[in-house]
Amino acid sequence: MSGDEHNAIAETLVEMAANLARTSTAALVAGELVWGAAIHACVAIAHHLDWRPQHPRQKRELDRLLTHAVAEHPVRADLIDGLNMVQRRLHNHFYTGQLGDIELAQYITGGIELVQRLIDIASQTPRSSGSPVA
Amino acid sequence: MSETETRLPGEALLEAAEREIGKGNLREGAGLVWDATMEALAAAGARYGMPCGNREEAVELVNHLDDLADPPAPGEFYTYRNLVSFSVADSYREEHENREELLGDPEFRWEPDEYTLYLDSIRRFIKSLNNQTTGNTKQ
Repeated sequence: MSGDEHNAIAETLVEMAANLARTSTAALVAGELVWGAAIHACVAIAHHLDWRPQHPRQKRELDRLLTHAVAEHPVRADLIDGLNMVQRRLHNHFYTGQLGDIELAQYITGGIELVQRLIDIASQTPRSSGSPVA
Repeated sequence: MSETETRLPGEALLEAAEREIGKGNLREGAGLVWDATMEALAAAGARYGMPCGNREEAVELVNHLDDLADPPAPGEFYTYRNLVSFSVADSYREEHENREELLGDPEFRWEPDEYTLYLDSIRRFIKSLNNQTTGNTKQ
């Protein structure tokens, strides 16, 4: 699968998540789709940088990827914070149901905003240049 | 630092957290990060007459702060800016309270370097909360 295909999947997943999030009973699934979308968007960035993560579903590997790929510190920190939020709140909630409805909806909003930013970065990352983007 | 210099809520606890994490006392350090965040949140909550003695009250306060916040500035992208930052602090709380459980979970457990990864974000969050407490909106 190419980087562009991973990016397209991420776009599809967040669109599905936004629709599912409108129903409280489906919001749990929406949160998990956001986690999947975040991983696909990160893998798209990795492809464009010709970076081959050994364990692309491990958050710490994605942290390393974003640290390498994004030069501007405040944006990079926001992305890494967001990735932590999506994993620790949304992905974990899929198994534990730990969040209330309002908190879950807000974290889904934040997760979708994160993925949209990651998709933008993947789209702007020159293929295999290794150049960090802002 | 001179003895007369005023410390803002959460700052001293965060410095203590950094020292503990630096010494490898990860669980203790994580707990101090959470304590530092709660101290800064409690001070911000006092401005609005909102209590902040536990996680539930903290979430309510964070929602209130996000309701009051300006829309994301250019380059920023989170509508619930305070909640995203709070989530990072909440992860430190989990690392403190559930560390043994998390150690057995390779997907969620933090490696030692991850305890330092988010400290700058917590520092920015505490600074932002203290700015809100004093009414100084400049970040």
